[in-house]
Amino acid sequence: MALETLMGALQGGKRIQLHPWYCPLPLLSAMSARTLPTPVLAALVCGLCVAVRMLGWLLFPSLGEALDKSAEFSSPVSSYRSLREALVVASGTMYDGGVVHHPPLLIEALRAVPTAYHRALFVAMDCLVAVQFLRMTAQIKRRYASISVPVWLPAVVYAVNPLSIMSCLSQSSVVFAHWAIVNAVSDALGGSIPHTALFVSLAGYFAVYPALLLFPLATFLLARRSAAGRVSVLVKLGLFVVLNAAVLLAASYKVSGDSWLFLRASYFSLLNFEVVTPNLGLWWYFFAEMFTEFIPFFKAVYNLFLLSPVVPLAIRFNAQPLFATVVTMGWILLMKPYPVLGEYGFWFVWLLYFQPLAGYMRYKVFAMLLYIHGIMLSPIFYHLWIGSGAGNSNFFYAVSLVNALAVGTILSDLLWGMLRHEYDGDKPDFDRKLAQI
Amino acid sequence: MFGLSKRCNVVQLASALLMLVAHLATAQEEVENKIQEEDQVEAVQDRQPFRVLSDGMQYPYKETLDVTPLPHNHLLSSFEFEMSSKPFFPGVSSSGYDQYDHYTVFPRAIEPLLRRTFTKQLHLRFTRGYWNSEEWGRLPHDGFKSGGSGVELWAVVEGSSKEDAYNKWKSLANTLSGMFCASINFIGASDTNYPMYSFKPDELRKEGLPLFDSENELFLMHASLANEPICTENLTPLLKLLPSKGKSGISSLLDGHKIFDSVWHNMAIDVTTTCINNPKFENDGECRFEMQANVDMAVHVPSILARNKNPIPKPLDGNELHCDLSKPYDAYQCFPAPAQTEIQFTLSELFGRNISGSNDLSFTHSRICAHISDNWLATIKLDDGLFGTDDNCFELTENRFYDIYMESGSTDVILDKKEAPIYVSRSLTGYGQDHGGLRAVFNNPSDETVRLSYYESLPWFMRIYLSTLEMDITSEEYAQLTLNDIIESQYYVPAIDRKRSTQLEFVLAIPPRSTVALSYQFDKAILHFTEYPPDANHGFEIESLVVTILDPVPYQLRTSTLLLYLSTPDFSMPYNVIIISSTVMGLIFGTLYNLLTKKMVTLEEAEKVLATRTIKYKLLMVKNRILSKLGLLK
Repeated sequence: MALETLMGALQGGKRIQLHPWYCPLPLLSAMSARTLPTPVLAALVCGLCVAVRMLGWLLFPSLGEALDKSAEFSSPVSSYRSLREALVVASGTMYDGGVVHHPPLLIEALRAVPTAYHRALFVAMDCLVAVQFLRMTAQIKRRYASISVPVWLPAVVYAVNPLSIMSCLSQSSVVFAHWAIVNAVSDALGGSIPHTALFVSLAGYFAVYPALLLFPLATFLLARRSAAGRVSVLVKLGLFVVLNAAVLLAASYKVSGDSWLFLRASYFSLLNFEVVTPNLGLWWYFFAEMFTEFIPFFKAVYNLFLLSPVVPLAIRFNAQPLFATVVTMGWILLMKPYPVLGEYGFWFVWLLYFQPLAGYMRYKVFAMLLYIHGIMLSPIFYHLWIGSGAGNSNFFYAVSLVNALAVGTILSDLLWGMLRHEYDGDKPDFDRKLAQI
Repeated sequence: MFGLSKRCNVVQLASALLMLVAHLATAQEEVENKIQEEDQVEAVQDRQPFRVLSDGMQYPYKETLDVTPLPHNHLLSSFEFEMSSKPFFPGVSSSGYDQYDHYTVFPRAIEPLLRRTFTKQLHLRFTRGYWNSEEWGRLPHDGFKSGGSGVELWAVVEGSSKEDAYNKWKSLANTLSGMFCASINFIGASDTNYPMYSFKPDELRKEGLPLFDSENELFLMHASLANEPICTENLTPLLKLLPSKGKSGISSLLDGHKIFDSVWHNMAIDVTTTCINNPKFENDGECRFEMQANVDMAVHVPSILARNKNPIPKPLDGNELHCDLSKPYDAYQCFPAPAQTEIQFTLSELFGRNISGSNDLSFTHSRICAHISDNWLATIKLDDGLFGTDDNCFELTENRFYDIYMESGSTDVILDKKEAPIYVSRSLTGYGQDHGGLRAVFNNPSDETVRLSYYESLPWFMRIYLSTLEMDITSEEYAQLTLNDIIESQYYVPAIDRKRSTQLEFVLAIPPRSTVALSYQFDKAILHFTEYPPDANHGFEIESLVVTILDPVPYQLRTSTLLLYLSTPDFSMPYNVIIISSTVMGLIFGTLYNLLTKKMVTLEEAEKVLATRTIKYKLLMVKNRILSKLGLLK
């Protein structure tokens, strides 16, 4: 089946209908989503999510700790190690050091949960994300008739995706930002300004960069409104975001012992790339090798670079807010200082919604192979450099370049697909040869 | 052994007067006062063991050498030099009423430095080598005069704020760096710590160190340069501080060639400020700087003697071999005999020099003591004559060449060595250059619980996870003890990148006859390209762990330094990385930019448009326009 699909894709990708290989589990493929009420489906997805993670946990008891130390799944700003470190130090002093980078409210929330239940908490968060995917897919399908993905598919893919599973086992705190992002998109689809603002602020509070999703998400809320209505929506959204951010920061100030140190530890250290640590991003080797005098300049350049296409993307694709959101997420992932594979696992789920574009995409096999090549070689080259000492840092640098190229190819191909889709309208014509001038 | 100083007489007179006054008070007070004053008089006498010349000028200087045989033919030589400055009143500028400072035996280099940097106590250590405490017992001076391998400096500085004190400390370090030709000037904010439990800050404050300004505070600061090479250029400045300048007395023995050829050697300088702190005395508030310089070294005597005989090592002749005849042997090879137990040597053989004369400056003669058992003989050699004493101590009284001759028929019998109260070792665990662990093992061989303070300073590029702190205990009797039972208190200052080092202090209680291991994990950071030293693959030296025993006996020891390997970037790559990274980013951004800004057309349209863009086409258009203007176009 899979081979057939692959061949189909290679032959110009004309067959964009759903293929049986999308149904990894016979049980779910046998059931039509239409015949199942949503709560049952949610329970099934949640059960699957828990079962797969429990299985991983039981089969490989020490995998979580190993992943928490790996360069691919753990970063200084999201690792469970540094979260635990924050938990053993008193609230007032946890940011007076270089190890803790998590936001204070998250730390205090986890402090309230006994350490023994943390693993269960992370699994539960993953469940929430999966169920939220289910809800959101239903919303998306209601809004965009052209999106033909089955309602259960993104949630199930999130539940069984190895990158998400391993991220959950490593107890990476990226799941909190993911939960906020799915909620934000879902609420933006629902048209609720306060809720969108709340979840965008939360996502930004957890991981800084998702705050940029505010721009594409605003285009959800602006759709089908008059010019005057648009201004009022924007003002309201802006006000709610500022209000939420102010409340979150003020609460953080309070819980971290009346100190603003958390701003530097959780946010400024990201923008300033204070901890140079090997990862799949483009920052670390550049700044490890950069001449001291130019480091501040290039840090500014990298931050501006990350920021620059966000608003243009939101404007250009204001008619396709979901697309703008997903492309922005991909761009952030490509350019952020501390990307982890758990975030890629999350992002890939979103690509399922653009399955109608697959026929237009020119390099999808190439990009996929490039990406797989990158993540397969990454642990090997990392070990050669760090563990055995047989290789050097350039090995791992090469992997991060391959990864960037793969994501860049996916992004540009997606954009091309969407532009072709816009050109063709509702009647896809895969034989038409188009160029850009 | 020392005569009373004039000042002591005055003090006694004053105390007698005061006792007279005390008689007038109630009987209860009388008893209390008597006890107090007797204590104080004793204390003052203890502090002033120096003679005063008849002209009133003081030369408070004293020097001693202690020679102690250690097991397995090792020998410990401890030089001690004590001197103190002339009295002064803190906060009163001496030049205010007297336009010159007078220096006798106290080094001219040190006192202005202490005054300028408001330093109340200064401790400097230069140590290299390994003190084998399992064989040799306790460190000399119970470890309070030795440092970790490398250079160690700590000081009590008066300052109005932490920043002020730090600036003074920095100035102190820079001056000492120049004075001792050591890299002490590399001590910066990221190496300096403010110890909480170790180095006895509380007792320092109780001693009542004087403040020049009562609004100031005292700050104890500590820093060390792990595994810094110690060399003859550090010894020479130390000798220059002595009034004898290494020319006479026991300091004439000190020669860099021999000292740095030892198994373990240590140079220490301690300066403290001591004050008379009793309003009943007329010289209340009078202070003086007291300085102690120590040079300790442990040598393996047979190897020094062998090197004297054969400076270039070569195989021994067959008849000089000491063979173990209980094992198989032939004419060419044999198992070596267990270490020989007969030994005879003179100090001049060990140090390469004779003792030239005595300490002529003060009336306290140079004194040499041998701490030996009955199986040993120690004599002083004077013009080929050997003279012994009952207590094996020799006073050098004349301006002649002296030497000490020692011999023993059974060197394995030595005076009862004092067992170290605890054995501590620390090591790095794990492999790979991204994560690691530290493990400190405390072995308490005694029958009492040992309370100790643990002081560890780690560079910022070791990111410590204190949440991973674990304890193992070997003793079955105490197997149920948890981390909280062992750790009485904890003081943890986490590192801040490039600004502050980690400071970790514990007060631990190690149960009797047990071995306790504390371990925790850390991440190794990646530094910026230019922050690596030129020999980046050598690794980074991590300073020793300082263990100070609080109970049952005061004792201090330091573990070996550690060598930490960090992952390194490829140092030949900066331009390549900048170019390649920028290319990839430019490629992706350029593609996206093109896609976002360009118009989508069919290929045929595109070709048409492209055709209109050529210069040839544009020229044609211009030509046509001109022709049409002129009406020539058909």
